Amino acid sequence: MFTYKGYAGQILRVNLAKREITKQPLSAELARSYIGGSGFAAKILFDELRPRTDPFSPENKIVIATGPLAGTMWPSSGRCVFATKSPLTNVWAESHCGGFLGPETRYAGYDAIILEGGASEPLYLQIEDEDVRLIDAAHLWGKDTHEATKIIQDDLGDDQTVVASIGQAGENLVRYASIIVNLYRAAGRAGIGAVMGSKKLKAIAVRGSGGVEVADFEKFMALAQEAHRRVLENPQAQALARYGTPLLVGYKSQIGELPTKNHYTGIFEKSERLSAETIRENYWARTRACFACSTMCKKVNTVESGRYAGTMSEGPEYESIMAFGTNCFNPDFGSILHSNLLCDKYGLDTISMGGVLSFLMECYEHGIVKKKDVDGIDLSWGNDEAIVTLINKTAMREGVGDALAEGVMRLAQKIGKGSERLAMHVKGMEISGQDGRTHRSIGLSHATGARGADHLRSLVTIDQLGYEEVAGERFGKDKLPDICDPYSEKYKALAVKTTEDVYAIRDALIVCWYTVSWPPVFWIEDFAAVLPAVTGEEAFGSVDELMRIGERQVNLKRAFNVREGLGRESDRLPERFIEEPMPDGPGKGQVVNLGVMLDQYYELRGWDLKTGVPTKKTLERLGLDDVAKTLEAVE
Amino acid sequence: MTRVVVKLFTSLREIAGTKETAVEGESVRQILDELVQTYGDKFYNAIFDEKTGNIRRYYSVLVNGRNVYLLDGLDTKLNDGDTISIFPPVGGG
Repeated sequence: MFTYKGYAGQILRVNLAKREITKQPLSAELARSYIGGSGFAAKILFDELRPRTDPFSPENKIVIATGPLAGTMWPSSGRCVFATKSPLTNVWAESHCGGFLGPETRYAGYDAIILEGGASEPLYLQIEDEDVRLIDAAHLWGKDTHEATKIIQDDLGDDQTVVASIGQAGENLVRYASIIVNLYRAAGRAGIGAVMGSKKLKAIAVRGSGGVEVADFEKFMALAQEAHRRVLENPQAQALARYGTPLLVGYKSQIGELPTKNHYTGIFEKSERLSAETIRENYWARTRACFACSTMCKKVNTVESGRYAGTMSEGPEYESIMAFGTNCFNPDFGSILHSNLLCDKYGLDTISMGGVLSFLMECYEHGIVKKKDVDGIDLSWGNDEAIVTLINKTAMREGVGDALAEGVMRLAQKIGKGSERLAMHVKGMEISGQDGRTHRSIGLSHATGARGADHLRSLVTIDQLGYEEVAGERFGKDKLPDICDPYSEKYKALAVKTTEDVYAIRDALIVCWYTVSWPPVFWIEDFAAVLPAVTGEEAFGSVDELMRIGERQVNLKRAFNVREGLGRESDRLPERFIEEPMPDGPGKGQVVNLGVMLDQYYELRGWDLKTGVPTKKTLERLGLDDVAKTLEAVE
Repeated sequence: MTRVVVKLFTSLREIAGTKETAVEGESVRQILDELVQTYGDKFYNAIFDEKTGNIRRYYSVLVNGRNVYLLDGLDTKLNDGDTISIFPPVGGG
């Protein structure tokens, strides 16, 4: 029996080179210090990966982890995380996804899966409770994620098997290839699908028949029921249920932060064509939900007329509308849904793919890239046919697609001619759909995110939305109104640091971004209430202890990156956000003063102001003495 | 009189049956009163908390893209041609 309830108590280790499958006990100390999910992944990868490991080498590993809430009735607990060393950024990578993989893995009896080594021939991993097999996948190689999922389910004679698959993009080592779970859920960012491809692992198929045992069933069920009630009664959750994440298009259009023309401006005149209201009225067909979710934010849309008639798919999320729509100056919804579906099938991250395309379009506008350089394709702003053609070419690394598959940072280095200035990335990861010029705290989040330009690990939403009551509760009433002023750097370091530590716990449990980050239903106090009922560990009932565990995880990921040679100079933003004032809209004239926020952030974190490296004192305070020793050796 | 453009979103758009309207008023409060006059109880109940008479939690009212919370709240004075955007609870992310 494992020390705590709420865990399977077992880790599955799969060596693809040796075709060796071992089951090892979960360490109680790991659970106590990191809770689960992203925390487990950080500890395992920090300990097991050597610095400077080539992400595509057999020495790289992928950790798939769940947490103690996965598979329980707690709202939105259908999450799992994939983590590795990224081929896009060469540093820490994690990518989370919803759906049913997390719960299914727990029901099969595992808290985490470690994939190591590399196969010489294509394989897929089949897990059915205790029965774990590596199966020849020659017949799946070259198939897209939808085809591969169907074939595996047919082969196994079980359409309830959860399948996480890579498509052609992962096979072809596109540096931002994703992993797609059951057709439409994506572990999208940072190229983890390409690492799977480098290991010749086509897919993971999981079926579990067990359950999750909690420490105090009655208490847990009472808390879970109350939690679902809070979600169902929350007006924002209701809006999310009706419209999904495209809700954001309307708001962003009014505050002038809808990334347009490669983040040149935040104003897109034709935004109404891509608004949540327009999509709901003209394209919406069905609503879907992930495991144990009362929010139901997933929308299935169909296109009935025009060039993309017949396209039906889940999505697009706000970020994909930004990536293939506004940021490419493209108002055609059909083409965006079609591009989104192509990316799901090929296994491509929509944000990075769109980032590459908008970058190229801006290069084309400035004459840096000409038609002859891009296989004769007209890259004028908004050319939806070019978008679709280049997605196809990128996934297959065909023609100019081979260069696009490398991502914006490497592509700009190859093109040269000043294009580097237009390359919108941090640490090599393409920027998500926000802009620090009109939302200062996300400027700091983008700059400091461990995996690069990340909007999911520390994005403070309540300052942008002006939720002063919530901001007062979370950060202190004395910080109002400045902390809610999106054009001011004041208190943003505090907001980002606090939010990042809480989100680290969210990502350890694991529960969804929605209901925690936005709508702001649950916060750290709620996790402190539910975790002891699930695990039986009373220490998890302390908010201070949970915040310390969150801080420990942030520092461990930071240490992972420091070991790879990163420091303050890597916590940067594209020059555009620092030096080019927002050209129009409500935020006209705004730029990010990053330096002042960075200083304050490092100070709050206990990191060296000059180098950005966690100090020995900080690491030891968090119980990371061994990490401190490792970093000393690096210096 | 000061004439402004009011933009409505999601459920408010459904209640009002329009996404945009021109309204006259000197302050945000006056504009909201005008909108209630035009669109009736359903509109009032959507925006205001009946008990307190304040705008409901999580509703956002922007004047030219700036949240009125950072201006003078409902007493924010308006200029000709200003845009007021009213949002029921919307998302971040």
